[in-house]
Amino acid sequence: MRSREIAMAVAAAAVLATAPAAHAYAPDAANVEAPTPFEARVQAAKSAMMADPQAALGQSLAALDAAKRESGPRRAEHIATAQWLQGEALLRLNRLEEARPVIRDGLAAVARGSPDTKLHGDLLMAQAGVLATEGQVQAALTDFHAAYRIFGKAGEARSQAIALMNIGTIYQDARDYAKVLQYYAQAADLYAGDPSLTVSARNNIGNALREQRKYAEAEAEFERARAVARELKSPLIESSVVANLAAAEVEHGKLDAAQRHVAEAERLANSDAAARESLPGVWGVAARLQLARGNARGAADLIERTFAGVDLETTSLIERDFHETAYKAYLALGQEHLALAHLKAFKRLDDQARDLAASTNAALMSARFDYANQASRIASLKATQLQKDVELARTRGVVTNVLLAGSVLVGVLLLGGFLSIRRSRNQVRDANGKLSVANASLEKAVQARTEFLATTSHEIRTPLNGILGMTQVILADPRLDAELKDKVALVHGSGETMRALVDDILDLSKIETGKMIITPAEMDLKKLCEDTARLWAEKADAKGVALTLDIHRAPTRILADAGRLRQILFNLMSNAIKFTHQGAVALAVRAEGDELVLAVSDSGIGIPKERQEDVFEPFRQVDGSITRNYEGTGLGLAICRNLARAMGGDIALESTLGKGSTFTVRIALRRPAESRAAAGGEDAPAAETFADARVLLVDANPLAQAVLRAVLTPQVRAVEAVAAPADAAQGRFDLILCDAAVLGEAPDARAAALRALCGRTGPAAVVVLTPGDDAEAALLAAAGAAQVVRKPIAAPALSAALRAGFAERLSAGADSPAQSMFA
Amino acid sequence: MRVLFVEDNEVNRRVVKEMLRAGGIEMAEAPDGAAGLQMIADYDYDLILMDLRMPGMDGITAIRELRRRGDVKATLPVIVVTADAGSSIEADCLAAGADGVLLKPVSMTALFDAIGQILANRSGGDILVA
Repeated sequence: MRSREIAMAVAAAAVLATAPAAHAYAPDAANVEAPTPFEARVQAAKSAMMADPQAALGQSLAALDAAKRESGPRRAEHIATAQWLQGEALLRLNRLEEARPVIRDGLAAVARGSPDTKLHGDLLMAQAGVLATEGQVQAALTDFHAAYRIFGKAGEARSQAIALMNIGTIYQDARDYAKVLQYYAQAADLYAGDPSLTVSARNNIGNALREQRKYAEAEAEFERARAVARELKSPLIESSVVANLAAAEVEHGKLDAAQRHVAEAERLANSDAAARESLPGVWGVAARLQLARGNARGAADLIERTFAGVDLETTSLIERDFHETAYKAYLALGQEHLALAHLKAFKRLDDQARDLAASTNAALMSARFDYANQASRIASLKATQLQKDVELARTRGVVTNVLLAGSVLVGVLLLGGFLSIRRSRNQVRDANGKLSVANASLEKAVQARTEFLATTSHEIRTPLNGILGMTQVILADPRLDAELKDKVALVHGSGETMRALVDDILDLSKIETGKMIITPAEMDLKKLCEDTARLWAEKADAKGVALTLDIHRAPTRILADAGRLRQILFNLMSNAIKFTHQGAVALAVRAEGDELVLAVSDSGIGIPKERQEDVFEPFRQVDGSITRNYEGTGLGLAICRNLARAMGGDIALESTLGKGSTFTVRIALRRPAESRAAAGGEDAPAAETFADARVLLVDANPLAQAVLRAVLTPQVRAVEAVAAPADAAQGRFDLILCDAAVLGEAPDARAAALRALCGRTGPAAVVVLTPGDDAEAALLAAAGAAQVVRKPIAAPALSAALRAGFAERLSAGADSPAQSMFA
Repeated sequence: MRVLFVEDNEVNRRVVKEMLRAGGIEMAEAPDGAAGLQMIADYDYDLILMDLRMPGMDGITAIRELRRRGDVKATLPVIVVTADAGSSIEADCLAAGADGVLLKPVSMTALFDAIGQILANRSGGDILVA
């Protein structure tokens, strides 16, 4: 249970500071003559708020009724106004549980309908009042600050000043008098147009100064407060201020001046019926004066009047100092029984004050800590990330200085976080502002890194184009001898690795900045798996590792982002083969209910349990020595996980050190609308229709190859292209389209080469394209060609010839059609 | 078949020229967008390859200018060849009127596939295989 008024040495003036300002809500001049029922209720609620919150509550409920019966454009605003008054009244009645939802509803409506208005600020202030009373100091401060900003936007300087004073009051609870001074002084500077606010501000500044033993300054502030109180013609307030002045003078040792001011305060208190309320306080100060003069008897007499009719066990914090005076006076007089009673009361109130200060301080401290903690945590996260980038740049020989500039920036941010912890002792007010500045700096740092990566990528790709392009041209030249070809292939391979690195880094950057877009489209999953397996078959073979593909439980047509799915499989296969030196690597894909499960298993080196989560972090391989033994960017698995998650799934790892690993990707299985129709063909292992055929192109001319591929790809299941018959030995196809030029120069040589090709490729139908004459065509047909096509030929005619060749093979009842090469 | 490659980097012009030569394609060169447009006006090409970042007139501007021409050359196929891997690059190029986008380092297969695809598309499937 907390008591807000403890901070207010002059209770009446302080209440003025937090009470709703009746005049600020006065109806427009035009409406004065005939206020609406709503306006009348609002006015009544405001007038009653300070003196009789129960009556104010009744009026606010009546205002709410009236507002709900309205139908005009301001209905919502009027309802919120009534809710604000209801909340204020409930707050004053200490019915916090009821106040909270009413204020929240009003706030929600105003934030939607009329944000940044005075009413919005007033509702925030009410909410802050509830929070402060509950001891939620940090949340209260946030709302007070928000209200202050909104009042600023709405041009409400008076309300801004009240918000600042409320913040000052929180620091008063925390006995942080330097902050109290700062906020009250700011409030007084901001708005001098309302004497009741000025009195409250000056009086509280005086009390804060007195607590700091700055008596001369305190006395000057009380004098100013008194001058304004006199203008207000309020003897109650004036006598309270003068009593405070006298109390400062007593502590200051200016006893004669104190004597004069006590007499003046008493005269003022007696000049008006309402002002008599201040008399007990005036007598209390008079008692302290007498005690200071060594007159215990006089002090006891006065303090007895202060506490006349008061239950000593229920006094409030305002009276704490008077209990101290009473205890000392009665003790000096030997009236130990009374002295003890006041000592107990003093201790109770002192404990209460200390608890309040402690809890308020704790809340303030935790607010500071949270901020400092959050800022430094963000900074350290970013620092770690940039540190990794710097290391990567160094090891890869990439230009480092720009990234180093990045780490310097983070260093500055960390330093900023550290400094802010030290400085924040007295700077809670700036916490939010600093956090947003820090966030902006971090955003800039992230953006700078993204731009750096984009530029670096561009600058690396340009020379890579020269390296990879020219090595490709050299490798494609038939005049190149085998030994030289090997060496050039090495250069080319290294260039490809570098390109993969640049691609991976860019992908990761896109994922981090949310620019990675998944675009599902209908695709052939089995073909993707076959292509992936085929791509790695040679490498697996070279290492003596078996490669198996199990797709018999996989759907064929699915909805997915083929490019990204290919990337996942590519990375997983690349890893599996890289870390496996004997045994097998298996790619198994299957549908499991609504899930698509893609698993890549290997019998490789395995990953120790404690590092299994690490492998999904960027730039991590199992340890430094391994990083050096195995090439790669260390980004592949991080990208796989991000992609799997972006597809609404995830990736899991099971691994035993020395035995092998299985990476399992599970994503939601989405089938295209017509998948039922296509499902019939799914399990057919070999091509029975032209549309399901796998076609091999053999053509040395890359343009011709490309054009044929473009023409055939939409018509068949798969098109592979090679430049020479020797390269074709790897796979088994349903149909081979071969340019005669690759078979040799003379017709006889071509026929012989064709015979050899047919022998190697099994049951596939071979269609030969030739510019030659009928004699050559006959020769080729005799050598095994299913069709011989004379070129140039228009694409539709070529397709027809291929279909004819394929049908011929089927009808000829050739041996069992080609199976999947990995079956 | 004649191709014009608008590209400021001499090495990259040479690389693509060698690649195209392997497919029996002749390639002319222009070092920036403005020179490229001038050459398109003065000579006949079947296909334009276009870099993006160039001094003077950049690739996007050059494509837009080309598409604004009042004659048949406005419809020339254009393939962008860029080292810029930004996430919106492809969309920007297609919006400017490009037919396709290739990312450097460009492989021979990708280059010829892009050309083959465009030739096949442009002929409505009735392309002559020579």
